[in-house]
Amino acid sequence: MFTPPSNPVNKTENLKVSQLCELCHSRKAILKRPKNLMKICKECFYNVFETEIHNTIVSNQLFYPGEKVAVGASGGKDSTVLAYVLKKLNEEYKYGIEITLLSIDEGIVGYRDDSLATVKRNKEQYDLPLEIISYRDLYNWTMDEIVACAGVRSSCTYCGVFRRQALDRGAMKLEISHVVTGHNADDMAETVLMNILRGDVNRLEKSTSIMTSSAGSPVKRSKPFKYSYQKEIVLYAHYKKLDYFSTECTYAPEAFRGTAREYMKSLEAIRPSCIIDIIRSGENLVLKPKKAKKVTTKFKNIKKNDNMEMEVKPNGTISLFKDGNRCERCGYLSSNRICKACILLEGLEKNRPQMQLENDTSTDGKAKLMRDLENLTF
Amino acid sequence: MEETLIPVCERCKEQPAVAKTRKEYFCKECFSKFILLKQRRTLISDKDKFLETVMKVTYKTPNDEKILLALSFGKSSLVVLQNLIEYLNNQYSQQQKTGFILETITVVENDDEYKKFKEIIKTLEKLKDFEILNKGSIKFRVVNINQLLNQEKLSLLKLNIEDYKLLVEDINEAASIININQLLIDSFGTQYKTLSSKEDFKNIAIKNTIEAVFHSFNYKALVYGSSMSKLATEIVTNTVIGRGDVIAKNLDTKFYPLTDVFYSEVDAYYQLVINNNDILLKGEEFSSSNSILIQNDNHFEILKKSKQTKTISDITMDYFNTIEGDYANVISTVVKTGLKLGNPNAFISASENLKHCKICSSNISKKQNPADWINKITVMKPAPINTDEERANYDHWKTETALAVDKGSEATNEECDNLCYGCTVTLNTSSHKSIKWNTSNKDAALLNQVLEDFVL
Amino acid sequence: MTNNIKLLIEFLGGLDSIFDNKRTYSVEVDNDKIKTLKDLIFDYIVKELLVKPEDNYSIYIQDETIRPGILTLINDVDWELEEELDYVLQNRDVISFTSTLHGG
Repeated sequence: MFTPPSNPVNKTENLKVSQLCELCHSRKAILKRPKNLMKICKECFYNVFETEIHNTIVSNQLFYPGEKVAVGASGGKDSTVLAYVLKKLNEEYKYGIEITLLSIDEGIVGYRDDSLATVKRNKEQYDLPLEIISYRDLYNWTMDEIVACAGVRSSCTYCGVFRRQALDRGAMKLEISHVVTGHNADDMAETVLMNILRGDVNRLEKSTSIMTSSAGSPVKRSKPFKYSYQKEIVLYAHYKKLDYFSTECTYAPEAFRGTAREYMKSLEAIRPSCIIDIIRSGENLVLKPKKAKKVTTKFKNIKKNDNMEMEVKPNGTISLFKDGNRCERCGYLSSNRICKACILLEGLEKNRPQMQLENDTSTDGKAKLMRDLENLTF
Repeated sequence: MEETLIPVCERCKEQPAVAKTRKEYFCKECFSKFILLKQRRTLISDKDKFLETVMKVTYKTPNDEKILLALSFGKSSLVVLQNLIEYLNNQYSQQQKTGFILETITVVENDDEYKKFKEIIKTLEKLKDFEILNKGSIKFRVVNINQLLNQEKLSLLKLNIEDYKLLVEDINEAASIININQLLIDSFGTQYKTLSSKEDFKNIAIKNTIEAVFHSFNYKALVYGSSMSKLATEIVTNTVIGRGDVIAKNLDTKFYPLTDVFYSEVDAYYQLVINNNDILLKGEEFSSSNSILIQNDNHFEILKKSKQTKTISDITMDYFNTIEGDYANVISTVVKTGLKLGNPNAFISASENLKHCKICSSNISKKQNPADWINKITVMKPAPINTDEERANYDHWKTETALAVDKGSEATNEECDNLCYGCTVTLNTSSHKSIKWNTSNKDAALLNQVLEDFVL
Repeated sequence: MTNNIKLLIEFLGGLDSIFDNKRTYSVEVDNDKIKTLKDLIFDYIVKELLVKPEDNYSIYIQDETIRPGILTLINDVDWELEEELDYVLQNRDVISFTSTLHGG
């Protein structure tokens, strides 16, 4: 059941000029934009919020007419607002895209049940088709079972790997080659910070890309909310009374990411623009040219392709995907002989997941740091 | 008093340990050697051994090449000063020659600090740790930033809120004595929330002054005392205030002997070896909650700021402090990451002249023009006016602003886009989107009028 | 005689989980004692509505104000435009707190 937020009854009479919206100068300002500190009214807020997303879509040429697009829908605020706004913009600006909601059922009792119920209501509310793909169907394991076997600590690692594949597979099943996700400016800023804090230099330059795709995978990802503040997304959902689900995943998020998020929120309190500032910085972080090595020329060619995502091997080198490689186990597209998901699954079957994880992530030091950080509270 | 077992130093295996860092127990002597060696190693290996080449005693070429040390008289820069003095003294006692001239630059903000600076110089003269064998090899320079401001022509820099372009207006400040803090208050007010913006611009004013001195007097290298923790804080702070593009330049064009030394180690070294609070100009400039000393009887009162008075760098320091003890990896990882960064404008063709920011003088490329970037992601178009009530409000606004415009004089403003992203954002947080700033070139002649030199 | 005002307090975006899983509270408070939003938060909400304050206080409050990441609206207006903690409460005000930190 969805209960919308209450409507206020009190209204300010006799507006002072200083209370007016700084854009239209005709209505009461109701929020201060974190991006540029402007005080604006509800009408202008809807207008700038939607138009900015439209501009992002157009200037980055995210869609082409007739394209089938899946919205990775979790039932949470970001993907709910994304589905709503995308549908609205598609009608208003005639992108000519076909939108489908694509949900992943990880199999987390109590958390996913409720959020899936939200997505099912969204399907009706926005009149969009919905496809649900479950971990059980894909991997024969639910997240609850994985956690029971591998422990809570590595749950996000499993879920991350499995979900990425699941979205890809779901999209392919629907013959859709473009998944849009609700990642917002805050998420992106967080990722830039995390990459600096973890020293993940190979991902640093790519962390602000609006569109990514794993080479070899026919499915591309994009983030139309790249420049949209979390605060504005929540406010938009609030004012529009959108039906979204908000409970933290039962298997709490990665603790280190949590500390970075807390840190960012403290900053935002004194410099509201910091989210967009971090993204700006992120777009300007480039690595020093590598000292001449054999791979240099090859590497340069790859770099020209902005949408290429590269895999980073434990020893810090970059592996280049060959098109059309398939996992020997599941036949799913993969850069390696055996795909990440299958490696994790094998570990689960053997009930020795921890070892597999260490082999998989990166050098021992880094993996250890990650585990240490998971115990850390800020 | 209860007797506790004091572990033995893991290096010499003899002396009792006084500090524990990087999972190892050190006695006083081994710890002090450890810190000096870390600095020495950084100095001689950094940037293709450039500094070592400058510093060493040569017999063919003159040995009067000058190195400038930015000396704030905080613990870190004093530790570096002590180390460089020892380096010079070693050269002198072994070769009867010194290989370079060390000059320091201290920027003071007011008369009190200037007086304190002079007292510190007197005190230094009596301290054994800072005894200089070759008297001519060190010079201490000081500049009062307000005196410098009063020598220069100020401009009013105003941000056009419609398109984020910069309006520059020359102003003839009527013989009033300008003070940097007052100048910042005029723009940002006194509210706590503006502390970060004021800190940002004040740091820039100080940085500009130091760099002007560096560029005007033929120095070979600019050395900063920043510890690894401080560098990590600066890297992350620059990232979060949109100044990511200057990280690489800051690290690549200056020398940091303490790159590999944590602040907690600097602090411990200071207490164990230098142990003198009379030569600190501003007290604690970088707070660390973790002491690595085993018996810490010299309790420093750590400045506990309330959250409301914290700036971005305070919050960043706090963040690192919560992880510095057990998660030291993060700090060194951040610095290593920073060192791998390069110039974002490296691939820009030579034909395009880079512009310089009117405030911080960093490079701005056309491709990454901040105003264009902001305008692209920020819509400024209002929604239409619908009701009579809204129309009435609008008319009301129009009459009021029309009155205000009439009052103001129509100055001839020059519009330009010489403002970097970070300065644009900080300027945007000021009450009237404007600041008075000196945009003129600080040359040797101008600096000579305000610089004062001291020799021990 | 007491001078009571009626208020509607809402905890949204998952914040209801520390307020007995109830999103909306319709309350009456003594306006002589509870004048500002600050009074309401610290002398009423934290004392009367917050469940297990020993565990949950820091989820709601940080450094003597609402924790960053929680959006506070006064009659649907961002509290930044309404003097924040110093806002003077009116009869029938709707005060809402929305967590923005939960997953999207």
